[in-house]
Amino acid sequence: MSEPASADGDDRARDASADAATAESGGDEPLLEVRGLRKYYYENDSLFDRLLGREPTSVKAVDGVDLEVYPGETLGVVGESGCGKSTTGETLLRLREATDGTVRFDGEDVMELSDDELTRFRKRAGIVFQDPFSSLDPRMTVGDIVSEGLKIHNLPEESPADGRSKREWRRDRARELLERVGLSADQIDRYPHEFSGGQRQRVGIARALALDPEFIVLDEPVSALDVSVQAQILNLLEDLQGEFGLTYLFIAHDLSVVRHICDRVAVMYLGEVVETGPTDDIFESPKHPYTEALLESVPRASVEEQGRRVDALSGDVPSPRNPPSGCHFRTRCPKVIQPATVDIPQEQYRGVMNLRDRLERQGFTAESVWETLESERDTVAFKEALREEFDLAGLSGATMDTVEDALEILANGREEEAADRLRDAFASPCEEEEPVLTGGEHAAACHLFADEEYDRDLDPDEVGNAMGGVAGVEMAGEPSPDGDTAAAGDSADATDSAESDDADGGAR
Amino acid sequence: MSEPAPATARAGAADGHGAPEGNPDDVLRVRNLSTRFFTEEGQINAVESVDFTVRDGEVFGIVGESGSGKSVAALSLIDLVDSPGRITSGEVWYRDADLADEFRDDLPEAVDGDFVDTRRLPEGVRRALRGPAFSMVFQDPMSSLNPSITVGEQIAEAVEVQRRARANPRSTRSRTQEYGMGRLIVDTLLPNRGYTSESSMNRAIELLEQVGIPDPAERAHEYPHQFSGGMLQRAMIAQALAGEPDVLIADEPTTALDVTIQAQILNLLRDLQEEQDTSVVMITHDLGVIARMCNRVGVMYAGQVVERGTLADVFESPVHPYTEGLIGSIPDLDDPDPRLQPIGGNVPSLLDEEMGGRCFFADRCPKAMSDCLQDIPEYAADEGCDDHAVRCVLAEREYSEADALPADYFDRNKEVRGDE
Repeated sequence: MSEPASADGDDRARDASADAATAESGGDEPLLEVRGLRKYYYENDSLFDRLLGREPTSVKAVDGVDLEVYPGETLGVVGESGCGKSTTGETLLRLREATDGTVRFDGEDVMELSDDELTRFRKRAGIVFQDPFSSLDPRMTVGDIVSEGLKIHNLPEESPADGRSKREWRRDRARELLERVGLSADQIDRYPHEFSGGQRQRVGIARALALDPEFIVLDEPVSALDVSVQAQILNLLEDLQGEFGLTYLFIAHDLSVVRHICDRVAVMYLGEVVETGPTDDIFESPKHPYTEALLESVPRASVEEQGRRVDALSGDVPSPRNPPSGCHFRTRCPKVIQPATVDIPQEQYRGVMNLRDRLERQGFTAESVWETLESERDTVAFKEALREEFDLAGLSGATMDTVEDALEILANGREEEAADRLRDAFASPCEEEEPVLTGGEHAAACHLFADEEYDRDLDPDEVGNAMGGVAGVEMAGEPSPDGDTAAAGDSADATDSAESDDADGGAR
Repeated sequence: MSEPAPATARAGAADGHGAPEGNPDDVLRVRNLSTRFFTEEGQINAVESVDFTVRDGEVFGIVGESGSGKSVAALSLIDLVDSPGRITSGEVWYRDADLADEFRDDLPEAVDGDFVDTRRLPEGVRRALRGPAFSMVFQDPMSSLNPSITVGEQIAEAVEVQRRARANPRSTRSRTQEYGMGRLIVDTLLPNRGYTSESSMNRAIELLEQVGIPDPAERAHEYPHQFSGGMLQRAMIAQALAGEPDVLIADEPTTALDVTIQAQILNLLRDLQEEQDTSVVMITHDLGVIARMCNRVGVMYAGQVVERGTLADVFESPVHPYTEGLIGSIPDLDDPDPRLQPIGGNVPSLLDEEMGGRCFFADRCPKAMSDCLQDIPEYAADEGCDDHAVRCVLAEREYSEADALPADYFDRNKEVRGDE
């Protein structure tokens, strides 16, 4: 950590000056650097399936994650269940084999380590698991649990000078650790079932500390605990970080916990990082519409919260077996970008996209609508019902004609054709290509930020027009190779300009 | 607004003839309710002398940590506590003028004005109240629905039972007919016969639509495993609405859900509550959910309601140190406070023998005094507003260092007991 700071590192340290931890340790080089991490699980992949000629299908649990963790800081990884945050934590420690990607820990490539090197790596990087009830062996005493790592790594290397046996040394070390995490050393011979949830989580933390690691992955360490106990554990984790100079990767779904304990945050959605940046920036000025929606949804424990109505995101998280093309969030995004050819209020565009999504991805059939209608084959009522359900009333002009047309086709039971009709007219730039993280220190993977013109304060209704002014024309139609290059060039520019913006922000 | 001085209210309710005075808007008055579990390890006092009221069209929140007895309190309301548990004392006064008239002569002690004490009513009547009077949304939708029956059919079944019950209230037979032995044999031979009529299935589809499930007609024929967690919770709510209940008890309805889905479900519950003017008892451990949804709140600790009042009373001027501690434990989303103020120690076991005659929170309380070593009654928290009640001596007197218990008082006592 005492390497001469490169110009780049200097910048970073200044940018992150809000984060005391980072600044103190002068985090110039990341301790952990994850690049393009992927973890796919395959279904229908057994020999039997292959004999039957079934195609294996992949579940993309983690799909191209980039992260850096600087020495002494806490990086929060936050997202809803199924977004791949725990898999990321386990894969980067090589507890699961990655499908693709590199993980560099202190300069070494974790994925390439030999068995001996891996053992040494395990000493330096630990993990605390989510569920304190299933992550402790019920047949071992807590003393054995805490000192098991020491035994595996054959510690102490030499017999202690004071004449204790190695075994006694380990036992004393376990006592020390139990005391340190707020348990009593007398409890060393007890079994996990004799402890409450919070106490067990303390045992889990003592186990992770036993080998004096530099880096700990905390996988939802407090989500199974009651609030009063959760606060004790959070305080303990903060104290330990200060005392031992630990670096944390803190995985959580509870945003208020993340805000409290993390220096930087990465927000994940469907296996990808959609936004990353210093905690204060993310919570005070979120860029990505998903982050905004998450923050909006969290119920605050204060009187002002009473009766607050949240604009909840519609629908569920799509299945990772078949994630949406382009931006994964586009199926729920309230700010999904309209193509250049379309200019309608954002809610109605969202409605059209919802109808399309249901037709294309969720097996929506005209039959299910007919079933709810009383009159047989009354096309007017059919269209009315759909217009109401998807908020499509009040359209006008060419847009209305197209939608009416599609509804008519749908009423005749030709779902695919209706979906095609809608796709031709309303394809969003968001589904054409995957957004990349842009914006330097506080980066978001969202097409709204792919170019500096798309300021987040822009009226969402006008975003479509803005899109049209640049690359929208090609994108709305068939994506031509030319259009793609142009877009790529644009986004590269955007990266630069956003970075310079950010540097200004840091100086300010 | 005129509950009598709480200390006497408890005594009055305990020897109980007649519902204690209360707000005319009350729909439910719970008095001195205790539920115990008689296990091999000993007697567990899961709910201990709980008092609260629920008013017309309001959301009453019960908040507490795991093991504080909030779920058992909810189950006790509708008499769903299973062996080895038993409701050992208390009254649950429910406002129902028709029922009151019916039992005024036969069971005078169970009737007071428009209120009936459901605990004193015959079992069959009490059971008939489940559905049209009370219904419940359970915590874990994955395990609360039958995985081998389609979602629509499970809801239709609830609709059907309620229909028959309405035609012939309080006949157990009307609820179980067609589910008897004969039906079982017929169904074994003709496995594809549904259990439900078409009209109740249509009603089930309506209910599914009401709770915002897309393509309800289609989804009704799917099995629970084909639903996502949020959708299942919506289906559970639809099922609970089948009987058009006056009081909907929601037991941790969003705990298993992600925050964006939780926001959807909370919006839905609020819409339904406003549309149908239902009263809701909202049970949760999440103070944020309480803040968003509730008008009045009861805070539970170790089986007791330690503090109750309006949302502002409890959140802004808490008297009980436990309530203060609970609020101090939550990291604030909008302000990364440098340090949390947790409550030390752990939730106590509720074994009868380990619970002395003292304030149950005294061993974790930063303000424990010698006065805390006696049974603590409920006090009015502030003059002139008797809606805010608290089970803590601090409501009556100031904290004074001189009376403080020594820091190791409870540890020492534990050792003494251990030696015996």
